[in-house]
Amino acid sequence: MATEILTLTNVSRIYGKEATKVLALTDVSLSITKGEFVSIVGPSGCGKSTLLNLMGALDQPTRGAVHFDGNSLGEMSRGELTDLRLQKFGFVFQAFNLLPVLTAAENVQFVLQLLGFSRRERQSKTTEVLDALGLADVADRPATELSGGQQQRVAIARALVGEPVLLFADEPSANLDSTATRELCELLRQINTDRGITIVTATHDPLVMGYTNRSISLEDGRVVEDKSNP
Amino acid sequence: MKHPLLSRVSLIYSLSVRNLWRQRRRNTILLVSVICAITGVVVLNSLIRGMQLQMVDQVVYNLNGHITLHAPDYRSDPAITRAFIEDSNEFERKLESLNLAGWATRIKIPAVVMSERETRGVQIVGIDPVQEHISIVADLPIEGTFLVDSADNRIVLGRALLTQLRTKIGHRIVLVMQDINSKSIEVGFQIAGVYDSDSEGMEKHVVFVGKDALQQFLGSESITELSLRFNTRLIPPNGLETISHAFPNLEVVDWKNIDPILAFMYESVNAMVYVWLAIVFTALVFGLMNSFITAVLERTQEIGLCKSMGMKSSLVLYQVVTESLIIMFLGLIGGLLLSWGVLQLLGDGIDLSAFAAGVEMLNLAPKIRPAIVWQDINIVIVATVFLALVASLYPAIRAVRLDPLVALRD
Amino acid sequence: MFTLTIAWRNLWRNKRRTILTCSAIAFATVLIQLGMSFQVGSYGPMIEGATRFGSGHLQIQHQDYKDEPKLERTIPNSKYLLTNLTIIPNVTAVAPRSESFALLNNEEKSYGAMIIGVDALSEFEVSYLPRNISEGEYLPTSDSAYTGTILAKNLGLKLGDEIVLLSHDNLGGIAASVPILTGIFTSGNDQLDRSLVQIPIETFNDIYQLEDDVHRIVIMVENPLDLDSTKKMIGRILPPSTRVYDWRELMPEISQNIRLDKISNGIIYGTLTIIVVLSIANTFVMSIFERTREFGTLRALGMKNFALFRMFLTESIILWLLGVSIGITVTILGNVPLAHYGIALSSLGVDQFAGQFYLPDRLHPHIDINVLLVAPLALGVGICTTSMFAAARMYRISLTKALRFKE
Repeated sequence: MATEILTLTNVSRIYGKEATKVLALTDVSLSITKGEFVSIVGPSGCGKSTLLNLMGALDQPTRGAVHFDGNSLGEMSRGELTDLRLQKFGFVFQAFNLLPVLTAAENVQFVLQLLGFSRRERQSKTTEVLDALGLADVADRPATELSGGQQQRVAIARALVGEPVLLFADEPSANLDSTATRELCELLRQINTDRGITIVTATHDPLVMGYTNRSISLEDGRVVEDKSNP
Repeated sequence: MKHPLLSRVSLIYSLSVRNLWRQRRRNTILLVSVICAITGVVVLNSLIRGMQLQMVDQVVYNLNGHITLHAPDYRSDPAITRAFIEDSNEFERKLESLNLAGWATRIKIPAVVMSERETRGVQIVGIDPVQEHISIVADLPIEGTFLVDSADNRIVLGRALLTQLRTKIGHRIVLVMQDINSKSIEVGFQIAGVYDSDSEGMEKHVVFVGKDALQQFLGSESITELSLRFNTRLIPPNGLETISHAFPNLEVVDWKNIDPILAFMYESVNAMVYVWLAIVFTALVFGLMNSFITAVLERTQEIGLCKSMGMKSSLVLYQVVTESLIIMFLGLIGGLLLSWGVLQLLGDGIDLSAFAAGVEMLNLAPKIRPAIVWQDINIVIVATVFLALVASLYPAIRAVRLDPLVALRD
Repeated sequence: MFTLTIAWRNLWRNKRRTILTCSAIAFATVLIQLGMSFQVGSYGPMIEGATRFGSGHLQIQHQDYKDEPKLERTIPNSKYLLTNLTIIPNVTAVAPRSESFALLNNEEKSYGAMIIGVDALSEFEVSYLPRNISEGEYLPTSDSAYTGTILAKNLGLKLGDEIVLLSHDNLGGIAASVPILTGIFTSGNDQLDRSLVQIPIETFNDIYQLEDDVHRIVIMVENPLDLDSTKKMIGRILPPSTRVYDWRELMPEISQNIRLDKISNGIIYGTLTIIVVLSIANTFVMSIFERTREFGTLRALGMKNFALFRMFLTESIILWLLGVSIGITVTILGNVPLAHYGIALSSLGVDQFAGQFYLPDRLHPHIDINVLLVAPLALGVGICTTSMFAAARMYRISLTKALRFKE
C-alpha cells in the first residue's frame, strides 16, 4: 500500500483584501503519494504556482490544511517550516534562481553548508551529484556563464544534494528549448525512478506532462481533472 | 493644442515623477539626506555668521566705533603728547556727508590708579557723555551716578576694579599719569559711580572721566581719538577712503585692524562658510551618484527598447536629470524649511555663558544669535542645482552611450 | 566561510557602487581624523604653553587670594612646604612666587606692571619665561630685574638701566626699590611682554616686608593626566587657610576654549557622519531591493532569517572595513610628514597672535587612539544600524512574491 506523504484538505488561498480580492485556489483537496511524479497543469493564472507554493511550505493557505507526513504545516513555526524546506524539500524554479556570485559547485555546496555538513563531506557529495548530472566539466564556472539547460541542471543538483523527500519544480522548462526540456524531463524521471524521490511540477508544457505519471488539471483555482498517465 | 516642446517637457516631467515614486523608499532616503545636508549647512552657517556679525557689533560698540582716527604715532605709544586738536566745526563739516550714527572725541591714555591700599594699571578714558550715545557707555548699568558732562571732574570705574582697590563710591582715588610735558602727575578723583559689564577685562581696566576736566589736568586741549559709528552694521563701501581723504594727517583705523585676532577670525569666517558647504556637498555627491547610476542601470532595457525603436535615448537622459533636479529641489525646500524651524528654536541664541572666560578671549558674544545672510543661502541654492546636474549627468551620459543590443540582452 | 565569500563577491558585483560607497566612508574618516589630529595637536601645546607661561599645572595660594589678591594673603612657612612638596610622587618641580602691582618710573614715563618675586633656579624648571630671554642674563644678582620687550620699549629702557619701582608694602608703607635691568624676554604673548617684571624673591620679600611668606607656589608634574590624585595628595599637607588649584581653575579661558572647540567640532563631525551614513543607507536599500529574488531563493532553500541577515550584515561590515582602512591609511600617510615637520602657523596667517593662545610657531598634528577610532566607530554604528533597517525589507515581502520578483 502506497503511503500518502502530502495531503491538502479543503485548501483555499485568497490574495488581497475585500475590494481587490482574488481567489487563487478554491477548496482544493488532494494527496500526493510517495514515489509519484505529478504534474499540475492548466492555463496561466489558473493557480498552479499557488498550489505548488502551498505544498512546498512557501506560503500558507487562507483556509484548509496542508499535512506533510501527518504533521499540519499550519501549526509549525516559521523556523520549523524553514527547517522542513531545508531537510525534506527540494526546489527548482522557472528562472533557475542560482546565486550569481557563486560557481556551479558552490551553489550546490551552499545547501550542504546550511545542512551542517563538514567541508570534506560537502566536497564529496557535490562532486558526486554534479558527476551524476553530467556537470563535472562546468563545476567551477560561475553560474552566470552557464547555458540555460546547464543552469537548470545545477539547480536540480542543488535541490537533490540534500536528499529531499519531495522535489518541487515550478515551470522548470519555461526558459529552455525543446532539446534541453527533453533532457531535463529524462533527468527528472530518472531521479524519480532511481532515487525514489517524489516530484511535483507545475507546467503548461505538454512535453513535460507526458513524462509524468499523474496530471492534476486546474482551472480558475479548482481541480477539474486528476488522472493517471499510463 | 499644446506646443510640442511643452508637451515633451511635461511628458518627461510626469515620467520622472512616476519613476521617483516607483522607488519611493530609496528616494525618500535620498531626500532625507539632502534635507539633512542643506539644514546642516544653513544652520551652521547662520550660527557662524551670527558669531561673526556679533563680533563686529561687539568691537564697534566697545569704545572703538567703526573707524577711529589717531595721531600717526599714537598707537605705538599712547600718550597725550601724541594727540591732535579737537575742532568740532571742522569735524562736523567733514563728516556731514556720511551716513553716521554719530562721532565721539576721546582721550585714552594709560594711568596707574591708587587707593588707600592698592595699586592697579588702567586705561583712563576722557569722554564727553553727550557724544557717547554711539558706544557701550550709554548702556552701562551704573550704580551711583555717571558723569554729568565733559567738565565733570569725578570718575566712574568698573565693579571689578572697585573691589580690587577696596574702595567705595564717594571715596577718592589717585591716578598717576603723564601730562603734556611728560611729567608724572597725581590727580585725585572722587568716585561718582560704578559700572557693570559682561567683560571682566573692561571692568578691571577701563575708567571714565570727563574729557574737559582731564584736558585741564593734563594741560592740553587735544584729544587722542576721534571715533565714528555708521548707521549701517558694516562700514559702507568707500567709507574708509572718504575718511582717509578728509583727514590726511591722521591715522585711520577700521574696527578690523584694532586687533589682529579679530581681523583673522572675521576673515576666516568667510572662508569657513564655503569650506563647510564644500565638505557637506562632497559627502552628499557619493550617495547621489550611486542612486542615479542605479536609476540608469535599472532602466537599461527601457533604454535599449527606445534605441531599437529608433527613439532618441536623450529622453532617458532628460528623465534622469529631471529626477535629480526634482529631488534636489524638494530637498532644498525641505532643508530650508527645516533650517528655518531649527533657527526659530535657537532664536533666542545659544547661551555660551558656561564658557564666559573663553568666549571673552575669542572676542565672541556670550550668546550666539544666528544670522541669515541671503548671499549664503543663494550660494546653497546654486550649489544644489549644480550638484543635481553633476550627480545625474555622468550616469545619464553613460546611458546614452549604451549599445542597444547589449541593453536589450541584459 | 560561505557567508564571507558570498558577501565579498556580492560587493564586487557592483564595482562602481562599492567604490563610491567606500570613498564616502573614507572621505568622512579622513576629514574627521585630520580635523581631530589638529585639535589634539593644538590642545597639548596650548595647555603646555599656558601652564609653562602662566599658572603651572598646580598652584598653591591663600584660599582668598584668587578672588581678591591682597598682599597680606600669603602662604606661611613656604620653605617648609616647598621641601615637603618635592617628596610627593608625580611632582617634578616647584617654585615660589610673590607678586604685587607697582608703578614703574624712568626719567619721563611711568607704567603700571606686575612685579613678581621669583627664585631664579626653580623658575627655570617650571617656566619657559627664563628660556625666552632675548637679551642679557636671567636674574644674576639680587638687585637685577627681568622684563618683557614691550615693557622695556615703552619705558625706553636698555640693559644696565635702573628701574624705579613704587608701591605699597605689607604694612601700608611705601615700597620702593631700584633694580637694574639685566635681562629682557620675548614670549610672544603681548600681555606678558607688556606687563611683567621679575626680580629675585629675596629682594621682593625684603621690599614688601613679607619675610618667608609667598603668594603662590607653582607646581609642575610628570604626568598631567594624573593631576587629580596629585592634587588630592598635596591637599593633605597644606597649611591652614591655603588651597591648591589646577590650571583649569586658574585659567578657565583655556579649558573653556578647548571644551568649546570640542563641542563645535563635534557638531560638525556629527553632521558629516549623518550625511554619509544616509548615503550609505541608500545603497543598502538599493542593494536589498535588487536582490529581492535572490534573498527569496535563499529563504526558500531553507536559510534561516538570522543567517540571511548575518550575510547581509557581513557585506556592510566589509564595506565599512574597506572604507575605514583606506581612510585610516590616508590619515596616517598624510599625518606622518605633517606630524614630523608640523604646519607653520604663519602659513595659516595666525602666527601674529598664536602667542595669545600660548601656541608654538609650528603646529604638529597628533594622532592618538581616540583620533583613529572615533570616526570609524561612529560610522560603524551608523552603518550597522541602517543596514539592519534596510534588511527588514527581506522579511517584509512575502516569499512567493520575492521568488517571482523581477527587477
